[in-house]
Amino acid sequence: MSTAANKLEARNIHKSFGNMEVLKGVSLSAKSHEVISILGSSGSGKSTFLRCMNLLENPDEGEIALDGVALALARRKDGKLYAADQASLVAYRTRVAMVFQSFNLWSHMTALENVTKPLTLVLRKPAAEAREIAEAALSQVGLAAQKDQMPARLSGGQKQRVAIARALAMSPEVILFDEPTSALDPELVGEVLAVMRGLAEQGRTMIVVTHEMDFAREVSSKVVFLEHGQIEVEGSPAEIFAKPAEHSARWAEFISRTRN
Amino acid sequence: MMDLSLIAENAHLFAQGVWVTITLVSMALAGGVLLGLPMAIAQSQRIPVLGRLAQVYSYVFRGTPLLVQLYILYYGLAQFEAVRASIFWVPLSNAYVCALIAFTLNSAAYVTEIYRGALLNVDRGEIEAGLACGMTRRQVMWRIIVPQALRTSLPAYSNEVIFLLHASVVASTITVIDILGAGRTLNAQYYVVYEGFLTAAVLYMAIVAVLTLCIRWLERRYLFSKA
Repeated sequence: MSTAANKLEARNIHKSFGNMEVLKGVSLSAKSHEVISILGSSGSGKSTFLRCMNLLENPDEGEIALDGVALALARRKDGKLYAADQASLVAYRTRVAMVFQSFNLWSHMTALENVTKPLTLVLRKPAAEAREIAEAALSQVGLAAQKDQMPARLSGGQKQRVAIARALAMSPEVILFDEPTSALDPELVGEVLAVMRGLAEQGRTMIVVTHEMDFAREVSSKVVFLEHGQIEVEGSPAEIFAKPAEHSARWAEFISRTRN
Repeated sequence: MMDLSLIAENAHLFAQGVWVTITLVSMALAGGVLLGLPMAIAQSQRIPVLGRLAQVYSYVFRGTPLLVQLYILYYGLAQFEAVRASIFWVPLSNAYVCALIAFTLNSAAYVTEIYRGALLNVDRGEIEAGLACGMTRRQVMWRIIVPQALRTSLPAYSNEVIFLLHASVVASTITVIDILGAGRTLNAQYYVVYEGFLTAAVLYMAIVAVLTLCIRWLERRYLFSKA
């Protein structure tokens, strides 16, 4: 199963919070240039799974591999798996970026500073070069003019686009999106999805936890439906959207409910 | 009635008092932040032994009056032969130094509490964003958590500044000629009451007025909206 062709791979991820088992052995692999959408009702474990993929949550079991190289994990006293060493975790996280539901821009920095800070601090780029990269990333998401604004002065859609620019500036090999449009007012969802479609067209490798069925169907190369901490259905959108009932009753029900 | 010429003739006395008060309070505030910020971090991060020590420290220093702390330092320690024989006696026998130490230790305790709350209030998501892009915990602490905490605690901290300025009058009870000390000296020399105290009051008010302007400026410059 572990082939070098897989860009990012998570194997058999188990995770519980206390007595509640949220992930019961979830595996997922993304090839380069693939866009994977993870769907599922709330509580299905989809966000937890994504957060396990960059160790913001520490799984109970499982493996993560980037370019076929497993991230070294070590079990701590709490029974969870942590990165075995700080340096490889940092290296991994610079290659696998994350975009959050609530944007999580640093509220004491301008939009530009939000994008340059990881470049200078983590990638150790000189300030001038970081600024150049950041300005290019902000232009790409259509926010060149807003670069000196504080996050509080931006709309939700603009904030999320800055957050996407922050991820892009790191030149990551994979971008994880954790429900990037769920916290937005409906009229602001479009601008963020448009940016994400653009990234997909550029051939970015993306794993997207989302409720946007149209995005999943039209943009992704693979759709994964998570239910009760397990993968219920997995396949190309053409396969699994066409005759959902042939794949799973739960999946068919999920689709019919989201169409209303 | 008030004799204004008396105040004018003794302007140098008040000038010296203003200088003493300002240096004493600003050094104590600086020391308070240097001591208080690490203690606040130790507490907010639940660092095993240090966090608990910081908690006890702030409990003791906020639990006792500043005047009592000052007297213990200035009068109390002198009772011990060992202290008088030690090299610490040179600074400890000086009232100004004792006041500086007491104010610093006291301010550190209050600053610890102000910053502890502010550190804990930093948005969890912003911390995760730092970690997710590869920052170490230390980088997240010094680049995201601390800068935000220092900014959000500006209003509370400015209260502490004014509080310490006013509390610093206790220095005059151990012979330090600060602003109130200057006022008391004037009153004692000329057998008057109002001249010394009123001048001191006006001077304190003037300093607070300037401080308030500085704080407003800092808040406009650094306080950011969370929304």
